[in-house]
Amino acid sequence: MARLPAFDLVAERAAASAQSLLESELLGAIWAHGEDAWLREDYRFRPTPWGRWVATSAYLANELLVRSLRAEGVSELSLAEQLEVLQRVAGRPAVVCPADPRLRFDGDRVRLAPSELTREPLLEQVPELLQYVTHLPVLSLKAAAASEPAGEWGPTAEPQHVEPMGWLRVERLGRPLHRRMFVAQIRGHSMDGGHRPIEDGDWAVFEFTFHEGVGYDAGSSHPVVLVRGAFNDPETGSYAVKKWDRDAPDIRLVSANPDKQRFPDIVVPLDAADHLRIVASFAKVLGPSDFARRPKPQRRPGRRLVEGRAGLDEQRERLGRRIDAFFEGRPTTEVDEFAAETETGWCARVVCEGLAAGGPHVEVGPLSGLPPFVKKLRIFGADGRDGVVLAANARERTARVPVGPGSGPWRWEAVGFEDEEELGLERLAVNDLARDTVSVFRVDAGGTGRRQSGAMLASGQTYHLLIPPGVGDPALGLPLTDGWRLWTVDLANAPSPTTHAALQTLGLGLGEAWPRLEWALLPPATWRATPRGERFPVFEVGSAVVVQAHGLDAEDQDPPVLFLHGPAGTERLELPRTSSALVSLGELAAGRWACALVPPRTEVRPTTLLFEVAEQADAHVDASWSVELRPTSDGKDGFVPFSVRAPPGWPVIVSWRALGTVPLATVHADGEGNTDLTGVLPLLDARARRARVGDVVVDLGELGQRVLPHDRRPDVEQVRVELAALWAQRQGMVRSRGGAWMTLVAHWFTPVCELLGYALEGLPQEGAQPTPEEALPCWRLVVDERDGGVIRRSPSRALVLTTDLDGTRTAGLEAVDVACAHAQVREAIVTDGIRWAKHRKGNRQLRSTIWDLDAVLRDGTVEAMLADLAEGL
Amino acid sequence: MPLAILDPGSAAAHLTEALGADWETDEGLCAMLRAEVHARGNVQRAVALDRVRRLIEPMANLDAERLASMCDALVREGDLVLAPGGVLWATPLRVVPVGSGGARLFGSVPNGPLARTLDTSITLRRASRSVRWSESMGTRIGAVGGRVVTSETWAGLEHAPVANDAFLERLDERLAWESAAGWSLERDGPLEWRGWVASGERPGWRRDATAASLWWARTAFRGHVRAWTAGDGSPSMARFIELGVDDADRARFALSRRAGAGAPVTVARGGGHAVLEVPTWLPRPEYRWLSLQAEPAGDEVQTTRWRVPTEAVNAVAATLADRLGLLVVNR
Repeated sequence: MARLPAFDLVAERAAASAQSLLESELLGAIWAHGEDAWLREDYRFRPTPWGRWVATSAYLANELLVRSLRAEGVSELSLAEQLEVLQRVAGRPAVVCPADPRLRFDGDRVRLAPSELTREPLLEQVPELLQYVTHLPVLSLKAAAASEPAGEWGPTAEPQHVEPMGWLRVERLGRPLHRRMFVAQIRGHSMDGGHRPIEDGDWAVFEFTFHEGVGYDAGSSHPVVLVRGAFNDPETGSYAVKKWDRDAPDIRLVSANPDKQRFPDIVVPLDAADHLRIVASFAKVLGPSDFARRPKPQRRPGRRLVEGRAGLDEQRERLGRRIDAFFEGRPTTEVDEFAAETETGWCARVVCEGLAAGGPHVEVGPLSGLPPFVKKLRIFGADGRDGVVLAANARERTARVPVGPGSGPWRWEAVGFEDEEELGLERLAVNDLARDTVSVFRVDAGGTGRRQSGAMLASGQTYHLLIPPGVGDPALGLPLTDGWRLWTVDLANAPSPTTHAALQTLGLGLGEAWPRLEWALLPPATWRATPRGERFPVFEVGSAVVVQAHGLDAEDQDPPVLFLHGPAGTERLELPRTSSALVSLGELAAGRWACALVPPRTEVRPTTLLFEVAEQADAHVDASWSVELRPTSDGKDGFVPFSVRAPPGWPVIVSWRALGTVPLATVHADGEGNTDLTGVLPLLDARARRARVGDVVVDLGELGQRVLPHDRRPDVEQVRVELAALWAQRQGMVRSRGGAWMTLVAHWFTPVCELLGYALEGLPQEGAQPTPEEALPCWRLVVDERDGGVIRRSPSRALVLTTDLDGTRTAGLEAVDVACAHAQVREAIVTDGIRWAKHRKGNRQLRSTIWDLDAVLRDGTVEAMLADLAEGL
Repeated sequence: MPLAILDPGSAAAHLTEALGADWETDEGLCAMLRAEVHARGNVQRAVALDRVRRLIEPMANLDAERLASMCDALVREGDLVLAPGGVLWATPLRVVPVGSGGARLFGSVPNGPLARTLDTSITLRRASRSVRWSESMGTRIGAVGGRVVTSETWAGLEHAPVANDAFLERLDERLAWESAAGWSLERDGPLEWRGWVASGERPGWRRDATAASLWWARTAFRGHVRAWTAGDGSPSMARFIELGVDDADRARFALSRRAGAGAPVTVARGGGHAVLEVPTWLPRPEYRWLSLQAEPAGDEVQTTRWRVPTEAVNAVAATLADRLGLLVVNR
């Protein structure tokens, strides 16, 4: 490379400039003369990384400026001062390249470009000269709310001095700064609504309403204010940022969030307003370009930032986002390595438990918005086998049904609404498992195997492997149905060569380690679900929270770092070089927390546990129960359907009690406390239709027992209608099969006698047996009655069947008397099925009425017939 | 929030303090199981056992059978409900005041919250928990959805008939109206019936009994079947009604009472308490009631010997004698 004399003037210009120049700027005049000249041909020039040129002898200051702005905690620097200092130190001219995208130049001021800044404010310590001129103090809302001393309300009251957390450069406020102003970060979601929402995490400018003995009005008729008082805001306690409705007759502090159940308005009667203090009025939410922001930390390729202040800040930001996304169901706007692995909501998926817990299941929900008329959901596999989920359970949380691994694909339908396409249940269809490759399920912190798509397993994790028939060594795993096998592989420690080889035969490989984080020592107080149905543990304030990290690489020079982020801040613990570690998270304050195991190397995935700490975490199980009668229009003959609410899971024994007690079913209440009686109500209904009296006993063991007495006493009209219907339906059979008593007893005489108020009993074999020639087919008619709280049965009449009613009434009465004696009754009903007559034992001269059923039903004399033959009407 | 690495020793101390019992004891394992199921509300039994095993894994490998037996003990106690499908459910708090100023606690609420709720210390003995009873506890129990129940209600005595002649007459009445034909229980093959002989030289279940009314046989599927006849032969020949296990147990005591050969209940006093020995199976309600009044003095699962406070033994023995016709023998 040469020194070109033609460039001498250009070199002088470059050396005199304090910033880099474009090649066209330097060579423009030469090019204008048609010269083909380039700066790279002269060693006195060198390019900057951003395509501009400086004198080779000059010191390019960009890197140092960036470092200074990152490290010194200031939002901007004086360019001239910086270059002068550098020139002195380096002993040669210092220049800056304005094309550097990391920097922004504004006259003599230089600052980091927005792309190099976080969304967090840069708190500075500034001289008094700049305070309330370019910078405002940053206070916490809680501290600001406490600043005005109680009991000194009035123009003479002075705010207590609150030490600011730092000073923040504020720009574009639209008006000059003054000494009543301060900046604070919004906490809570109660003002997240309306056309100017104030969101959780926003930085906002407030103005104290009292300053130096002067009170200032909060502004318009509906100002947003920081208020303190003897109320209890669900998010912030005794202070809150709310919209003050000054037109209301009382003190009404309104939440902008439309979800009033979670974010209620605060209403204070005027006579209780003495304790209320309007501390400050809200001025403006600061946008990202309205205040000085903290620089982003520098990072190395292939490495996560886990060290130093920058690492702590980065994880705080990430875990904060993760907490928001998880608990509030907010979508994440970026590809986050912590992103939820499980899709929930209106979809279904195959999950896998251990063999003892049933292996593969289809998990569905939560199906928020599923219409309330849907009571049950049924899942069908390709093999026709099905399972049922109560819709009430699936609406609120995820619900599971065990399935055969080879029974897919699976589809869902609403029981009773199978043709209702608008329910959208087709979205819940689940594809079948591959029959030629192993399905891999990684076990999560809750112990459930979640399906993963790849064939690479990570050491440190536990997997359930569903192996189709004919794949791999048949000795691998434990047998499921249809030749499928389930193999649970725990890779917490390095797998043995045998395990490694077995995995290879299944087409699976071992990838990078993925440390596992799980709860240890003590279970949480309870588990709750997010709006998306994901379950998370809740610990009680004061209880110790302990986690265990598995699958750590003891040889790794960069062991993972455990981060804990929550209301009390962010903390970090470097784990020892061991394969597992037990870590106490200490006693935590109430709020939402994230605990993450973050390996420094980016190829190793981090693991996060999300949880909550609450003052009152214990979810008690309520012992209350109830039986509710649900009368229906068709329950005319006495049986009233009922429903039972009981503690979740509690066994409810339903019995029918007449002479003895017959347990019909033991039904366990579901998670909502409802019992599914659809199987037992028809049984009770059938018994109630046959029996005149009986008790339905609903027994909840030591919680109590409810007896539902059943006393059937149908009215005459009801009997007439049912008798007519029975006759219309079966008269053909009765007319054509005279004498076929075994058929007719079951299908004719039993239902007719039940309508007449009797139950049929076979006669005992012992005792006085009529001789064959005098015998008539005979049954005993019995009635059940209550007797001092006990149900007793007694014989009432005999039912004597004959094919020749007239002949029996003239020449066969002896046989009827014998039947009465055998049945130990004084009266008999003699019938051929169509015509019915009563006979009193021993009676020979008096003729009773013969009731022809066909005629009786036609001429409307049923009541007279019933008066003669029926009992208990 | 100081993050700290825990060594096994401090972890064990940590756990013991939180459980209110040494984690290695039966009481500690029961506390872990209660806490796990209570937190989840409901959970597959196998999953709950696995989770507890994994929670303790940092300190020791738990014997799976021992943990399973503790789970079964909690289900028997009534602290957990085992529903079909192998699902364990948390249960509400039930407090049963018993004699001598104590109260037994049933429910899945873990020890710590329970002690805070009742504002008293809890005495643990395997799966059972008890406290000193005071009337003021009623309000606190109600506040957490719990319930105070009498020992008779808890045991089921309120709805269980007394084993006497009236009970047998009721069986006869059912037999008269609801009997099934002889042999009808033996469609899967003949059953070897044993009749209950209440008195005589060889009281007990006898294959050669002919005039017995109460019968018992083992089915081909290793189940049991019990029946009542009119004393005219076994259910292979005579008409019968099938009895549930409780009715059959009760009938056994009623028949012995009728024959004047009630089973002896031996009371031995000494050492500040009395030992009450009932050398036979009691019907379930009476067994549950006795288990509230007394502590097992022998095998905890199939005990026949019970330790009762001396001042309460007469009342306990009298109740058993009244309900089951037992003959009290003082030693």
